[in-house]
Amino acid sequence: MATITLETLTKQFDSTTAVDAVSLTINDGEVLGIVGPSGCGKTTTLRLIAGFETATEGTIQYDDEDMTHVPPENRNVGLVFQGYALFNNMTVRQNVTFGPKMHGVRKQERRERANELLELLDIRELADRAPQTLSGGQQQRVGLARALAIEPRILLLDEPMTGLDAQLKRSLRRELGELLDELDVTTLYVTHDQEQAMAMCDRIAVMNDGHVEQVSTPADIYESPANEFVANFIGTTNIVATNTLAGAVDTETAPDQGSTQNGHRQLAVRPDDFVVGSGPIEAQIANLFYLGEQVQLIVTTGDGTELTVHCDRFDADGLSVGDQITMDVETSRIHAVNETQ
Amino acid sequence: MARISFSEARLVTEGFTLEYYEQLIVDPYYRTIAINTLWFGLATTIVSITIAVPVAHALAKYDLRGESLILTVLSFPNSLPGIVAAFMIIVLFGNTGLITNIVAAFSGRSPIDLAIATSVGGLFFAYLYSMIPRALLLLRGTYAEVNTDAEEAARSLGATPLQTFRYVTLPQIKPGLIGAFVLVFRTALAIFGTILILKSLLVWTLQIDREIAQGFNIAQASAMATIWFGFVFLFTLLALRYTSAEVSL
Repeated sequence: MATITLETLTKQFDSTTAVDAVSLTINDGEVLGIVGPSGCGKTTTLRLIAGFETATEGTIQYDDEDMTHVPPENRNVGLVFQGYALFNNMTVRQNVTFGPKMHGVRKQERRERANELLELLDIRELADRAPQTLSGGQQQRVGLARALAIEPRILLLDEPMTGLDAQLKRSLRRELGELLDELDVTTLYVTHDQEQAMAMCDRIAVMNDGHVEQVSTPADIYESPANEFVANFIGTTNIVATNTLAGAVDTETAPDQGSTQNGHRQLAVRPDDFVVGSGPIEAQIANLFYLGEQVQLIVTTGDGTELTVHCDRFDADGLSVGDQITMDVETSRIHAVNETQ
Repeated sequence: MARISFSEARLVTEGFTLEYYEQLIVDPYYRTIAINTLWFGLATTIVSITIAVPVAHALAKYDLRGESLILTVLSFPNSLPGIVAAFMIIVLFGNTGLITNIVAAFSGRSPIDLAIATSVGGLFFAYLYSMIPRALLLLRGTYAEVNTDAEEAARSLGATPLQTFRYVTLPQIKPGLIGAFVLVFRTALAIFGTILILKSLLVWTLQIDREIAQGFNIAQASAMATIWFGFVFLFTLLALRYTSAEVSL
């Protein structure tokens, strides 16, 4: 295990800056998630840490060791790929023992290590199977066992659950979360799935256009987004101008995240922070979507602002498109956010 | 063709005889030609593939400068007749050849001593010129399907680039290698235009031409052609039986 420190890490591809002066620390034993939209630079950051891309500027340190120009095979990084990337010409056990073999571990020892990991991941009975005969979930476990077999200083997970069905994702998410807690291995989890990142990571870095917009705990990022981009990307958020809610609530005392930019003050309110039924905010239902446990209302306020509101399905009984409703929101649930630069 | 090879007459279909096949087996002259054809085809195939693999690897793995120019130069021979390849060898490696004279200028030796155009060495180069692009064509397609994530996984697990090639890349390109071997070896056996000009080694196709053009022995030429067809067909069938390489019969 190690503490990973990125210092003004930059990667340019011709005229495109994929990663732009990213400074980030992944603490020893921590699970840090990087989330962001496609093309935001999260996978490039992972590839820089793994050694598959060379930094244009900046440094990568594992503890006090400068790894910026160290080739991938000498970094001792466990990498789990989106497409699993298993060696189809080898059995599951051979996949898992491959890393220790490359590190010169004796045959008996690497076999024992592989058996332990296969047991831990509950795939011992698959040891002699060919990877291509396994299901997606099983392949993902083999990929994880293979990455852990080298006792990596850092485990890098690159969208490891993409392509799995929703139910399997949920069960694997729980298992993987428990496993990472148990192993206490420093982990970087790259995903575009914010829900997974929120559930599994100790901290989350939200990336956009090569920059890190905010690094914090999942709860803090959700409750106090640093700017409009984070507020919009993590969960659903209503970004409204101050005057939309003025008069209805005390917007001046809303918790502020940093200074306002260029005189603009934007307010962020989560859809589930509205209380439908009574309150000073009047709106008309423009659309209504049944989501199962909740009902999503798209409402229009008096000044024409469109808001997304979530309410309990029982509270939505009898509501229909065109109805006038009243709503309330606690001042403490409103956050002033900077416009994304 | 097969019928006339069993004909008692040399020029027309008449009767039945195995004489021309017996001739191919018992006559040391034909045995030498067969051995020449096989060893030369095998040697040029092995060398062509040995050169084509690193070239295909480099083209797939690195951003080479002038990559499109390299590809054009390397794929050009595919559309050139063998006769042109032979002329190129003469122009480069003949008595007055460009390379011969450059080497002569630096070494102080006579160009006549250095010229290899009409030697087996010159023929070897001419074969490679035709065969490397064919091997490359197939191997590039194979490389395009290599799972690069698996290669990166191997690197992250501690494998050097050479170990990655041995344990991860090579097993993936194996069907392409066998396919390239089949294709290129068949090409080597079939080359005619080049050898017709350079004439530095007597091989099966050249002898078929001689049987027809010099001896008017259509039946013997047909027997040789039938043997050639049968051999290539069986070789391809056997090679493909043990691989998934996609080389059509």
